[in-house]
Amino acid sequence: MYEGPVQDLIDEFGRLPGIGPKSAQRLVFHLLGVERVDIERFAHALLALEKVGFCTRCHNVAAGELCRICANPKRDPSAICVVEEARDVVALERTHEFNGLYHVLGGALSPLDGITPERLRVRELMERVTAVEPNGTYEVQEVILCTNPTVDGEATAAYLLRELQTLDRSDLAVSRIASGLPVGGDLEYADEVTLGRALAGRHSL
Amino acid sequence: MGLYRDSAVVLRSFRLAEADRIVALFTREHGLVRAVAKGVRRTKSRFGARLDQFAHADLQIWEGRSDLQTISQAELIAGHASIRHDYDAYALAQIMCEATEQVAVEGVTNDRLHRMLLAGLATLEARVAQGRPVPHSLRPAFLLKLLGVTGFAPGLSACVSCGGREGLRAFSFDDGGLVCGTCAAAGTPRVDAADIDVLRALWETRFDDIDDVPTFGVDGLVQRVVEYHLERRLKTLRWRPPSIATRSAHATG
Repeated sequence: MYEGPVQDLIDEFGRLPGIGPKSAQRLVFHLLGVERVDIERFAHALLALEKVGFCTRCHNVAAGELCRICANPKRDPSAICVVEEARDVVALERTHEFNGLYHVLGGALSPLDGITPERLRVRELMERVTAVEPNGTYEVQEVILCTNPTVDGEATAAYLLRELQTLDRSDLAVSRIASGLPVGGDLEYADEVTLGRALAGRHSL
Repeated sequence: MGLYRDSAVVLRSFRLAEADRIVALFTREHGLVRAVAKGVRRTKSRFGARLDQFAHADLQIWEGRSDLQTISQAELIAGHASIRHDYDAYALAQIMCEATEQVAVEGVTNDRLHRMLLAGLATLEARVAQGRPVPHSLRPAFLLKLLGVTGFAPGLSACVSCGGREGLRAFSFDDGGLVCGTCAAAGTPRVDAADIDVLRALWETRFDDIDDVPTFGVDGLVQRVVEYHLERRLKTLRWRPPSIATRSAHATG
């Protein structure tokens, strides 16, 4: 349709999720109108993605061997929060409520999609939990199962709980993230399962 | 085209766009339906867990011009929410849903299949809620009964070829049931008297009353029969929960 580089860039944008041909065209024509320095910054940011890998410890997105969370000495290594995707780490970090480390499973169990326990980073989690420090104690004391409250996420948590219980670690605390009503929501519109969970998980004041 | 109400079981769902899902439903009156649930992945979605997999809900659906319909309202009848907390129950419910999706037809009512799926899910839900183990026999029992409600009921009382009641020794996929030693063609899978008793028990017993009988002899056979008639492999049948795999290893070892 358009001259070489313009059409090439439209095609590349069009390959991104959620971007159709019209949106791709709009983005490219926007870029044609911006300053050269902005274009260079954008291009450098894209090229820098080449250096991004995965943290060797928690499998979160990382620019080096360890992600910034695992590399931070102020974080508490005795607590591990298990999440499905790296995106979940960002969501939890925004709460500023958790100071431990993470473990990114790489998804949730899904028989229909062929995602079996072997395709998740379960073995790596078990290795972290059973790792012994030089003084003979276990570093990890608590595992928080923070998979999505969907059917697959809950089944994954049930599976992980069972696997963790098979480890010879009676001192290990395993917990599941609470679920209930969203803050700011109306009881009237809550579905029965969520409301039931909120009631079951009530706490004394 | 227009709005209609129907009760449905959520068989599976796929992510769509930013916060939507395409939901595969097995409805009581309209058979298999694929519909969009808009905004269902948002935490403040009005659907919430009503459209989670295994849920039985009363739905209001808008049938527009496109192939995909749109869910406009949902009232929960039974969430079957305990199933997800037991790994074996979850794996078996997945098999039930995948098998049902394969045999259900869009726009065609199959009330028996609908009731059978609900009975299967309710049995799993009750077992988990009561803290009772999920009987492994429920898996071949569901698959055998699935054949029945889709018109492929296995012949288990007499030889499906000659009608004789003695000397039943094999299971013919082509003829759809047990055959005697005389009628069995070369290569027909052999079954012994104990297997035949198990097959009959699985066929005749209600889900609620099924005990954890050792079914490993017939489990593979039932799986092959079902896949023979469906003419496709079921992914979930190849996904064995560790506990079942362990029990299987003990049984064969």
